[in-house]
Amino acid sequence: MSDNTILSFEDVCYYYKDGSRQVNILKNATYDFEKGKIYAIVGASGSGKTTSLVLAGGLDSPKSGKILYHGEDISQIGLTQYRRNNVSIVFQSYNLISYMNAIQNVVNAMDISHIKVPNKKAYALQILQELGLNEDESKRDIRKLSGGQQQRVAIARAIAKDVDLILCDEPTGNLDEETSKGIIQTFIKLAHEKNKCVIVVTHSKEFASCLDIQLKIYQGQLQKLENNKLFTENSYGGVNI
Amino acid sequence: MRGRFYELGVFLSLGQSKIKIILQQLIEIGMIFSIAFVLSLGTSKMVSNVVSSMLEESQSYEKEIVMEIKDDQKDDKQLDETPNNNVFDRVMQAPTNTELDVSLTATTVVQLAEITVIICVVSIMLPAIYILRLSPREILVKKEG
Repeated sequence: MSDNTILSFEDVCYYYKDGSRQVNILKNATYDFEKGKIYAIVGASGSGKTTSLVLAGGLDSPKSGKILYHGEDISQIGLTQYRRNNVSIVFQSYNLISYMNAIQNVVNAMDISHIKVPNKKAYALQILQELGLNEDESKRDIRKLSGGQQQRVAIARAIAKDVDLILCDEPTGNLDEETSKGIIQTFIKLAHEKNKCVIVVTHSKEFASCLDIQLKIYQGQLQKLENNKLFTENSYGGVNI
Repeated sequence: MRGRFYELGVFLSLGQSKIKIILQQLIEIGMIFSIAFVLSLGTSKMVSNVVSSMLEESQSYEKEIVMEIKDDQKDDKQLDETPNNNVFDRVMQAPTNTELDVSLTATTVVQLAEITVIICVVSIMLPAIYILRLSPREILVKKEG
């Protein structure tokens, strides 16, 4: 583990029961994630990409093994406290509060994390505008925004928490090509300029190939893909993206 | 509470503590309870007047039916002369039969408040205990499923 390591998987195992059958998702997965880098996690459907993100985000606990944040087991930190103070998660299905508008969703996340800025609403609006939502859209009922706009609100909420670790599950899945490029640049800037660790689960080869390190999940293990071999034959466990 | 199942999962995923979530739910229901309780106290006397006078009327009507057998014409006249047909009068006027007159004492109000608070707490705590024992992932997955 280097000094720059922010998150570590140590022999992490995760499985679920399907009737009498045990389905293994992660088997002794071990990997160190560093600050200032942006990671892409790729793999076949059902290989455990989202599960890895869920465990890294403290939304569930591994069946065995440890997940360390700055060397401390997140279960020792307390999963609720870890989620509140140390990690931001962008969900594939946005997970926004439906009766709040975009600004309120962002401010609510800041309130929960006790983020102290002079004017939270203005700060939230500024982040939303940087992500391409205007003031009118930011104040509109969240249910009246398009999927892409809701995704941007979810990203704004993650950025507003100002934590060192940002986890994203298919963050550009619902965005058009132009907006996706902007979002990718935002995440890269967060990693390179603000020294954050960004971990992205994605199916987009364009997105993955832009990022610093590409990992695949193969047979329950997190494996680093060397020299951008992401889309060569069988590098995905036989799945082409 | 059931309708807010997914919302609780989102709050948990953002790091909101379980105690704060339960407190928030209790405060919300407490506010609704306070308004509803004050309104119900104000209107209960009026409602009871209407109900009591309706009961009185139905009793007198039954008597009239018995009398109808004896004197059909007389009964028709009595029906036309039935008092308290005006809605406002019915609301404001206490029933003549004192046994039907509902009066709220301080003790009754306190007892009512206690029962309502118990109902509110139980209605929040039981589903909250069920929901909050799940991990945020389990809650959010159920929504997606």
